[in-house]
Amino acid sequence: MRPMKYLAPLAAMAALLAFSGHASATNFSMACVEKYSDAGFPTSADVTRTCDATDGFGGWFNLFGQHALRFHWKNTLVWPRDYIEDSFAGGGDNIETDWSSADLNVFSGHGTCQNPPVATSGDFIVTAKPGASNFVNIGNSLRLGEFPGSGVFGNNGNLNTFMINASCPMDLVSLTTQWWQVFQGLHIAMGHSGDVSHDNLDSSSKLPTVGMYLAPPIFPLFAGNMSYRGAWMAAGLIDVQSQVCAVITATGRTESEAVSRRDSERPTGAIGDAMPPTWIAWRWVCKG
Amino acid sequence: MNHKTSIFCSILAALCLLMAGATAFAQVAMPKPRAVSDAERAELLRTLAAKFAVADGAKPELNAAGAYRFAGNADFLYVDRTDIGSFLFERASYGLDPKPIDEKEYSREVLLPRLQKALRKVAPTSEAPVFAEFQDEFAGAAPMKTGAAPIDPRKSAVHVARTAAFVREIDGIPVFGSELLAGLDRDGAIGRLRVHWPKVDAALVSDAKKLRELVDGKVWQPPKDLQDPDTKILEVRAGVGHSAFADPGFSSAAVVRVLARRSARGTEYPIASTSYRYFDRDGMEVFFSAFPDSGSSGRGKAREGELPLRH
Repeated sequence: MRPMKYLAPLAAMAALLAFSGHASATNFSMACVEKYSDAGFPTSADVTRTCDATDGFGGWFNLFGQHALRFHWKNTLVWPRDYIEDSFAGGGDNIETDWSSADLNVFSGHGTCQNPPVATSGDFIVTAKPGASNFVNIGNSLRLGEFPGSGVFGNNGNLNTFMINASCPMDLVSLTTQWWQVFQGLHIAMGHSGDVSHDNLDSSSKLPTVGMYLAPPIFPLFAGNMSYRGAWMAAGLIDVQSQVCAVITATGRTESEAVSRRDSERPTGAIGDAMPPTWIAWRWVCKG
Repeated sequence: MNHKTSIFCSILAALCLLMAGATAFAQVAMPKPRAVSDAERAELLRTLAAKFAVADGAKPELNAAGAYRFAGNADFLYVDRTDIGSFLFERASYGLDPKPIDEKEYSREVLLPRLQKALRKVAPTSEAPVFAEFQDEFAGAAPMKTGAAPIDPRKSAVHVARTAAFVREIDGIPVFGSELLAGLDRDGAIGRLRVHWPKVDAALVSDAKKLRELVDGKVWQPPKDLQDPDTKILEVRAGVGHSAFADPGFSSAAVVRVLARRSARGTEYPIASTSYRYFDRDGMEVFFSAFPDSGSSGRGKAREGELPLRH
C-alpha cells in the first residue's frame, strides 16, 4: 500500500481550500423599515421603498437557492438591540445581526445626515421599536464579528459583511472615527457618504441590482461569484443625488490583507477571520 | 336575480378576483431558474467572444432564470435579458490597478470619444446617449490604532477608475430608468458596462410631450401629499418612465417624475428621505418596480432564544 498516493490529492485539496478561505452558503439576514410612524415617529418619517429594496435584494441574492435567509425583520420588528453590541447596555446583537454563524446582514431604512459632516460626526442607522431610542450610533454601539479568541466584546459575534441602504451611514470624512472600532472581526462594510442636500434616494432599484450582480453561483465555488466590491461599485450609485458616494471598507492585519478583503471578498469566498486588524482599506465611487 | 343566480355570480366574481390576484402575483414573481439550452450556450459564448474578447478557453459558468441569463467566471460577469435586450458586463479587474489613472488619458476630451467608439461595437443604441456625469472611483488604505488621530480617506486615496454615465432622451423627452454606464479598463477594453435601453413606444413619447405642456403651463400640479410643509419639491419633469434592469417584470408609461425631500420634525436627530415618485396625468401614482413580498420573519413566531414574541 502506498499511503502517499492517496494522501497527496487530499493534501492538495486541503491546501486549496485553506488558501481560498470559506466557501459555502451564505447565512444572510435583512432588516428594513418603512413605517417609522408605527414606532412613534411622525408620519413624515415614513419611507416607501426600503422594504421593496430588501425584498428585491433577497430575491436576487438567493435566486438560485444557494444561500440561507435567517431572518428578514420589517418595520417595528427592527429593534436597536439587534445592532448594539451585546456587552453594551441594551445590546443583543449576538442573537441577531452578529450571531455566531452570521455572514451577511443588510439594513435598509433611515440614517441621518449632517450639513456638512465633519471628522467627529456620528453615523447612524434608525430602527423602529415602539417606545425605544431608535437612533443607533454606529461608532458608539456597533461591534461586529468578534473573532473567537480575540478576547474582546464577548467573543460571540461572527458577522462578515454589513451592507447598509440608508442616508449617510458611512461619511468619508468620519470613516475612521466612526467605523474603525466596529471592525472586531467584521470583514467588510458598505454604505453611502453624503449630506443633507446630497442623499441616497429611497429606491427599490439599487439593492436588487446589487443582489443581481451577486446572484449567479460560479463554480468552482472557491472562485466565488462577483465580489462585494464589484457589485457595490457598479450598482451603488443607482438612484443617488450628485456628490453621493458608494463606500466599501475592510480591515486586516496587514495592508495587503485589508485590501484583499476590500477588493476580492465574495459571498461564497470569504477570506478567513483574523484579528486584531491594524489596517483599514477603503474604496468609493462618487456620482459627479 | 334569484338566489341561485346570485350565488353563481358571487362564485364567479370570487374566481375572477382570485385569478386577478394570481396574475398580479405572477407579475412580481422572481424569474424561475432554468437550464441553459445548447443554442443559448453557443449564442452566449459567441457574444462574449465578439463583444468582450472572452476567450473560448475561459469556460464561463452559465445560468439562467426566466428571461435573465448569467455567464461568468473569476474574471468577469455577464448578465442579459432576452425579453428587452438589456445586458451588463463587469470585469473583476476593473478599478483594481492601484496606480492612479492617467488624468489626461481619462479626461473628458479623450475618454468620451474612446468610449463612444467602443460602445458602437458592443452597445449600439437607437438614440444617441447623452453624457450625464463621470463616476470617479478611489481606493486607499492606512494603518490604524484605536484612539489615533482621524484620517480623512480623501487625503489618502488614489483615483483608480472613471466610469461614464449617460442618460436617454427621445425628441427632447427624458426616459427615466434607462441606463448606460461604461468604463474602460487600463488596457482599453470595456471594464464596466450596464446597458438598460429598452424599446420605447412612440405613443408614450407623444403622451409625455403633452404632459410636459401641462407641467410647463402649471396645469399639472403635484398631489396633495407632496404639498405638505414637511415636503420640499426639488424637481418636476415630464417624460417616459420604465422599470429597472433588476425589476423582474417590465412596464413603461408617460409620467411626471417628482423629486421630493420629506423631513421629519421633532426627532432626536434630523431624518429625511429623498425619492423619485412617478405620477400620471391625473396625479395617480405609477409604480414601475415590484418584487415578491417575502413577508417579515417572526410574526407569530419567536425569535431564536427569546420571548415574548414580536408581533
